[in-house]
Amino acid sequence: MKRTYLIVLSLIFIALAILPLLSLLFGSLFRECTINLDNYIGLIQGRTLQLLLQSILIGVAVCFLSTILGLGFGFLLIKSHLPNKALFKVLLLIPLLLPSYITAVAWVDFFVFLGISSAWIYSRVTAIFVLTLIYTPLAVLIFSAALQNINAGLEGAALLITNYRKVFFTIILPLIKPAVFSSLLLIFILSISEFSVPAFLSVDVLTTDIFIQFSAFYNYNVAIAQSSLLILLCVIGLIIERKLLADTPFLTVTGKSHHSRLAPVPQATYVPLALAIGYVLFSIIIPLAVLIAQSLAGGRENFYKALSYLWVELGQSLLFAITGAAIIAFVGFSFAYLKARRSYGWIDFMLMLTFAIPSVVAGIALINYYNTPFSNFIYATPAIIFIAYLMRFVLVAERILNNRLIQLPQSLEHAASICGAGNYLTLRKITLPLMSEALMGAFIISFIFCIGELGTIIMVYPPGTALLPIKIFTIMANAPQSLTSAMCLIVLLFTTSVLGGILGLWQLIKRARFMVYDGS
Amino acid sequence: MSRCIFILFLLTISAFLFLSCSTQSSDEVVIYTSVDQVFAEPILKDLQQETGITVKAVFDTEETKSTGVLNRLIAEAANPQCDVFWSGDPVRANVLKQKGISEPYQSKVAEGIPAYFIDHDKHWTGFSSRARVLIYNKNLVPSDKIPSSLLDLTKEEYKGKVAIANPLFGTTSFHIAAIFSALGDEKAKKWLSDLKANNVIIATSNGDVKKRVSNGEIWCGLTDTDDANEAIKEGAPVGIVFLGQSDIGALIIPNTVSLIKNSPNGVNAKKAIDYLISKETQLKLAKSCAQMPLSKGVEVPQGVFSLDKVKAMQVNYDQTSKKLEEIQNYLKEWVENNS
Repeated sequence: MKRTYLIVLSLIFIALAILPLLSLLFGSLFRECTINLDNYIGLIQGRTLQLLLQSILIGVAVCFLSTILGLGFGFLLIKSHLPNKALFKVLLLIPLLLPSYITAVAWVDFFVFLGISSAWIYSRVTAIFVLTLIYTPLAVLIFSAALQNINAGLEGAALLITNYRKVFFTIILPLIKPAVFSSLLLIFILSISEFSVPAFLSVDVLTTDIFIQFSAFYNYNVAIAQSSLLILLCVIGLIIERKLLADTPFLTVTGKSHHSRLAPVPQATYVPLALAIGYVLFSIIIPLAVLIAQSLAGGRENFYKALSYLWVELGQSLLFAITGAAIIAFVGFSFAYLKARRSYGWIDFMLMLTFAIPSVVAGIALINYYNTPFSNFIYATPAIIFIAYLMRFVLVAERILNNRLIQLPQSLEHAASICGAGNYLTLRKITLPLMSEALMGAFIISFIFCIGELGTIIMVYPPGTALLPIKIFTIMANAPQSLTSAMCLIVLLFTTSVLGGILGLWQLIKRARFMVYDGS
Repeated sequence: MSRCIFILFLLTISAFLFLSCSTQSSDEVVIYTSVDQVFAEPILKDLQQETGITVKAVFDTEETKSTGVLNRLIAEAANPQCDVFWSGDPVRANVLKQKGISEPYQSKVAEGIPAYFIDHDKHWTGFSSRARVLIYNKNLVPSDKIPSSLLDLTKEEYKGKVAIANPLFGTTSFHIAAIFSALGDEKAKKWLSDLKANNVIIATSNGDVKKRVSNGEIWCGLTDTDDANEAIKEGAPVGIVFLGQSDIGALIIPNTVSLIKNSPNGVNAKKAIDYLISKETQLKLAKSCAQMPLSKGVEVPQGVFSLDKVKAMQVNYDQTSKKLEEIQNYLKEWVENNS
């Protein structure tokens, strides 16, 4: 890709998504036109540091647990003899499709049903438990893509001289090291920026305090100063990741000849099957059963009512989410390319700023920046929603795509170049086809995030715009629990069907492509 | 493959442009509301149908303690997008007034509403109202132990069995500020300390209080009449008590409507306000969510409490909003030490 194009795209992104945040952070340093650092100095007080520590503790626990579970299930999906893998792939995504607040409510209701004491339910342990279940699918997606891309020849060669256990620890694990750190970092950031689950479970963390400053005291500058702590934490995480990845040898796949190799474990399928079913039962069936039981309490007409509430929103949300995910995948690819091929390390720091900032702060930043008579064509139209999507989630897509790009040998692009192919032709004929799986992965995860986004969108959505999460959460207040649960189930069914449709279509396209290759 | 990706990208960009080119109608009104959507939306639909004005609404969420819309209004102050703010309580309307975001409007339709429920500078007008009540689980609380006063909640027999929503937010915050005004700071602080000593549970919202009482997690809790009414409609084994009928009375919380300063559709905004505070709207709200009409002469449906039969707490809404601002730091510390 041409350097000029990439630079122009970066500048547009900076103008659209970075400047709003920078102007907000910069503004928090001033009071009545003079520099005033009181809000930042105030951060070094016991209470804020205590909350920060609590956030770190929860973030670290969730990211390690989710990453370990994600690696395990990624391995099951790609390397084991698990039957019905396609079904499990979709099932494992379900916790990501439910709003985190709804998942927390469902689990609490289940614990109350079991008679567990409130002191146990409304605790840090439950927050870690719920967040781990919510974010494990993200780790599964990251590890599935990474494990799929490993050159089977390397595993094969190693297996000639040693056992699979040693191959796993000395070949596979080092090869997926970037995925391990991506998973840890992304889930850590998502956990420490999460507000609704700790707030619902009465666990005080930094985001709940930021929310209090915003919503009870209307003290924006303190809230923004506190948010800068979250950004600082993420930057530290990023620096640690870079240090740990500095000496990683990125072994590569070799184009279409590679195929994922199954682990040479006994053919018996009951062990992976039992593990997968056990996890699905635990993380999906229980909250789903709670939602189904609650919604059935309202009778069949409850579902008709829920559907009538959501009818308009289903179509609009789908259009918004698909468009948003496509834009994110495209921009994410461009940034991944800049980072992997042009060594523009600052990209990470730039994207981290937009990802780490709490959603409500991002919303305020967008309002302050875009709500002027000159930019009403953006602020008062759906364009603002796409900018919010891009701001919030481009890092996730960039990470997934970067992990794949660094596994691709540059020699393939160099070979095309030597044969006279220009940048565009090389991209079209070499890079994009090899990146197609990762692009689809980035699209899917962006779609899931976009369709569920609430925190920033609720602050900026144009009046009259109909979106699913907004509808569910605005209806939720004072609506019967049965109606809210029915709405969640309808959205879940709808999103799962759309995802199933997209993945099915993707399989058909892939199959058609392979048939062409076989014949050529 | 890359051609497919290219075509997909072109399609999405076209969709983006199509979606971005939404036109703005001239005959419209933009209403932001913190009132629960299930109750507010039918009223706004009727407003659109009866006046012919296109209503564009922004609703709030329980998750953000219904403060998202207010934060949005504050952030949009320099270039208002909203015409009318319909609030579930006077606290938020007073915040807008203090920040210079609303402007005075005296509606002729407000003539039947007692002056007590109208801001003295006419920045907001109250109409239907809710009240703060105690909701209790009939299966758990013996009939001779049903509390009748706020002060009862600090008794040993209710230890660990009472919940209130986070007092930093919403109607609970206003209730606590009103208690401070009614009892005086010293007595109110003692009451809160005693509540804490009695292991009061701080729920995330009034809806959460309702839910915990309904499913028997706790004996009783403070909430609003609409939440309590919803629990009864759902068939939960709960009862309602207006506390303080022999002492300070029960807090009455009117809905309020404010005109936004420099609103883009000023004329329609006034028509919308007139519609919202009308007797017809108050009757509809009484029927849908048991809100007590404030205008004289509105028929009170069966099952809905009438203001005439409730001893109301004597509150100056403006001063209570200021009191809330004054005690917020104390309340934050109280919550933090309680968690």
